[in-house]
Amino acid sequence: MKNKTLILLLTVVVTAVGSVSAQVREKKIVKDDTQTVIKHITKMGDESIVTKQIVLPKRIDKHDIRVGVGSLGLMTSLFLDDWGCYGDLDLAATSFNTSLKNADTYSTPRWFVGIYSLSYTYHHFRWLQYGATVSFGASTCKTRHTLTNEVLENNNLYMLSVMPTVRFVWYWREKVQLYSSVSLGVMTDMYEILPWGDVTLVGCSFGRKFFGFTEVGFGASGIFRIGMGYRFDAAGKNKK
Amino acid sequence: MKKYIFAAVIALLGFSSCRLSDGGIRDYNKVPRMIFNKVQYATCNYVPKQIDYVILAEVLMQSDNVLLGTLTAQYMETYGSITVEENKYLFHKSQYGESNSEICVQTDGKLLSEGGEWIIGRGEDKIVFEIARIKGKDGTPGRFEFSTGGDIPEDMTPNTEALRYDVEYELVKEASNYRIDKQMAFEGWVLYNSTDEYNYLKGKGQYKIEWHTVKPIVMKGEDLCSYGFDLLYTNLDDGTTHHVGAFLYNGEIFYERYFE
Repeated sequence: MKNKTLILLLTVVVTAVGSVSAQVREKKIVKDDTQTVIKHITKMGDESIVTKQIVLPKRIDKHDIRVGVGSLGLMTSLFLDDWGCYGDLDLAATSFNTSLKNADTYSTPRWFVGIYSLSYTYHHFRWLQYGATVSFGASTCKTRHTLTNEVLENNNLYMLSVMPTVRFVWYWREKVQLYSSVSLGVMTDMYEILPWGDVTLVGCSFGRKFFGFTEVGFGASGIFRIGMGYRFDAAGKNKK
Repeated sequence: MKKYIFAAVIALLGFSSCRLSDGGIRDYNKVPRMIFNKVQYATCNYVPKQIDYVILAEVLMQSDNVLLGTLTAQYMETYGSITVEENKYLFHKSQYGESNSEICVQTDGKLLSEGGEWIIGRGEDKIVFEIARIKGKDGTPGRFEFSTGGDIPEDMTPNTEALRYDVEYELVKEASNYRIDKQMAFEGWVLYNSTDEYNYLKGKGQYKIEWHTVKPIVMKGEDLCSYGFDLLYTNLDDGTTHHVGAFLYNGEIFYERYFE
């Protein structure tokens, strides 16, 4: 009985080894921007069996629109901060009559309300995107009458910039991307037009179709930025 | 995922705004304080000091100059002195003081309490610039009238045009010292025709401030005890006026604005 079991076991092992050694398997992978094709080729003697597996990327987006808000930076504060000039009009350099006229007024604190940006980029390659960015920043301050508290003058400051943008994605995954960008265009503070720019040193976007982003940079959009965006023009009808 | 993104953006909206400057102070007393400060030197510093010289001259004349040494030590600065000449009292400021001018009180030989009429001015041995005329008040001791209207050198402010003080004084002896307590009621007006030039910013303006005491200035020695001023400022360029009051009670200044 024992001998019969042993012989049966040996037969199974030999058959398995034999069948494996008789097969030759090959795998070929071809990737491009639109899909990945995996070919499994199994050769058994003179015959070969080819199976093809096509793996489509979940999403191919050619466009994205994003909106963000940024914090104040040194460059933006040049135009949005009056550096205390409106703080107190009773300067020693004015005449007494002028000082007395201003004595019945006071200015409210100057508040920075943020820098808001809207941008569109086209994804030419996975690593290269380009488009345009519009940024708007403002700070508010009012002059009020001391006795009646009515607003006498609005001393708000504004900054609007329009810049072409180039973005370089140096780390790409479907849900997370790291990038840097450069923008160069013009800016107006409602009094003059100046050449202006923006640099994103490091940016991170997270999400697929709807995504959020955080950036660190300097220029027209502020130092720290955060926002959200939407990618569209997906190719490949992935039902997932 | 969208929820977190949205929440993050809302959070940053709060972080991105910040206060850049504190702004000005809503100071209700700024206008009255500015107007009062313009005249305070004349009424509470400069003129009372000139009045002190008149009182010292009267006291010396009354005491036949017996108190010369004591009053010199008390009231003149270091290295300063009082010189007595016929019908003239010269008050020499410190040799090392900022101004080399001296105050001269020219009498008519009569005490103010006897109805004397004196003149006070600047000059080394005679009056070169007249500051004020002094007239004994009804022959009453301790009272006289002090009227400006003469020339005041340009380095003194304000450019007083006409100011009339009614002065009551008392010389109080404290141990070996003497203290002059005085009460001064006045009224008058000052015209400013200033062209202010400061570096790159030029501004000029004509204005007039008229004022009088509603409560006399009371001083004990050098200490201001109380006063009440009524001031009317008129901007001669555009006609703007401000009517304000300034009162000193218990060491605190209170301001009032009067709107018609």
